[in-house]
Amino acid sequence: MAFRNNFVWAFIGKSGAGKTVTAKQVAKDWKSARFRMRRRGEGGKIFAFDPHDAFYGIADIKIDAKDEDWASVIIMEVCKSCGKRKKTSVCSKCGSTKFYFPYANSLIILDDYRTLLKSNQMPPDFLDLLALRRRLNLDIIYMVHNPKLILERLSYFSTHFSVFRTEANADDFADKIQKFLTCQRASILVNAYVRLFDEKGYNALYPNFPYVFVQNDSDQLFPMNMDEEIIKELQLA
Amino acid sequence: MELNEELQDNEEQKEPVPLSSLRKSDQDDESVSELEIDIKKKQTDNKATLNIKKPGFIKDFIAEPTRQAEDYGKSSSSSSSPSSAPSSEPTESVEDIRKRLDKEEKDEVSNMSVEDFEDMADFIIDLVDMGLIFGIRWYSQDISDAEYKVPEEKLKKLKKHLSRILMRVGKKFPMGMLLVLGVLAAYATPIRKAHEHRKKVLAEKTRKKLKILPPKDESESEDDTPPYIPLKKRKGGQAK
Repeated sequence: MAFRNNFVWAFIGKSGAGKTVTAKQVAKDWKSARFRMRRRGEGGKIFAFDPHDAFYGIADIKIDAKDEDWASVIIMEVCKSCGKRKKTSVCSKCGSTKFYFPYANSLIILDDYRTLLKSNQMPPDFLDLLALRRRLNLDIIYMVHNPKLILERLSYFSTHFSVFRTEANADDFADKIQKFLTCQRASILVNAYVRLFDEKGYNALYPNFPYVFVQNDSDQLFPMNMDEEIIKELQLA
Repeated sequence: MELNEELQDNEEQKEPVPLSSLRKSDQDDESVSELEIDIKKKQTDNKATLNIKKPGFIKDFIAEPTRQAEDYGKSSSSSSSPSSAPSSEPTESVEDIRKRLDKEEKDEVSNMSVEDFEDMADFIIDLVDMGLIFGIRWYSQDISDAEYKVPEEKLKKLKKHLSRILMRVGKKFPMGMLLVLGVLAAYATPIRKAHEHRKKVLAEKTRKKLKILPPKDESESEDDTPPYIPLKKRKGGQAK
């Protein structure tokens, strides 16, 4: 059976571009696809750093800005028999060596993640989380207003990009993203498409805001929620 | 015969194949290095292709199954930690680990110096001394400040004996528990004194209160009830 790799998906776009709305839809779909897993109690939980409370009712666990150890909590191991957090190879409470990851198979959503990770350096536990994402089956979505705000190490882990309308320059992509040319083209395309709408008309597109989906391993642009005829007229491809 | 000899000569004269010929020739390497790869040109020439998908494309992508976490609900290996690399060494059994831990604990005890044992004995004897004195004081029902003390020399001897025993036994004592008990024993006498003092103060207060209140007379207590008037007077008749 073919398995998809766990994604680290960046949503790039200016405020009001529809990043959160789209991520909310993605989270809903992700949750419903893991209905059986959730019912069996094998994970399928959604962690959300959600300063706007947009994921209320969808997220299972809310990450607060004060939770500095949020990443280490997600990847923590607990004793299978007594539930104590693992510190050494043997449980200090019951002496058991059987541990498990209680928050494996989860989705992590970091909305405006730079308000959570204020430093320009990656916290070590977040790096641990990224390193363990495949083993723990963790999907990650993070949202930024500009590609410049993506931390350097995180950019290398990113597998997918959703480019919404943005004020980013070509250099902003070039500095941060490996597939910067594809992302630049995506940005040009989506900005040109959005220019056809005024603010009111754009808001009327809710909840299907236009964006371009880019994969890190291909040069293809996947325009989403965009009219095919208009794209052809724009002749940007 | 001559032909055969000629053939043999030819075979003998055939040169051995040099090992270097098995490798790729230098010319091939040169040809590879001569290939021009203009990375910059390639990047600028990069053409992204548009791939217009159906609206359900993202939903399908998300719904695709991922490989479930191996360690979820299963026992993980003892060496599995976020930063540790996977090792091919066989993992220890629970019994092995417990044995190792017991051994480490014993080693810790054996590493203790004579001074450590003496300190430990001092602490334990002080603790026992406090406890016993408190018990004796309680038994005597003595609330005075008279001291019930054991002579220092005797205490020293006791400490020496105990330190020797500890060195022989070499057993680890729960020092945290001893500390808690020690604190309780140390504060027992002041607490008892404070309790006695509190009792006295409360008794004094109640005595003062009783003094402030005027003594109750029997007549005053009857004032609350309406005065007794004979029936004859009420009817208008004057009393003689």
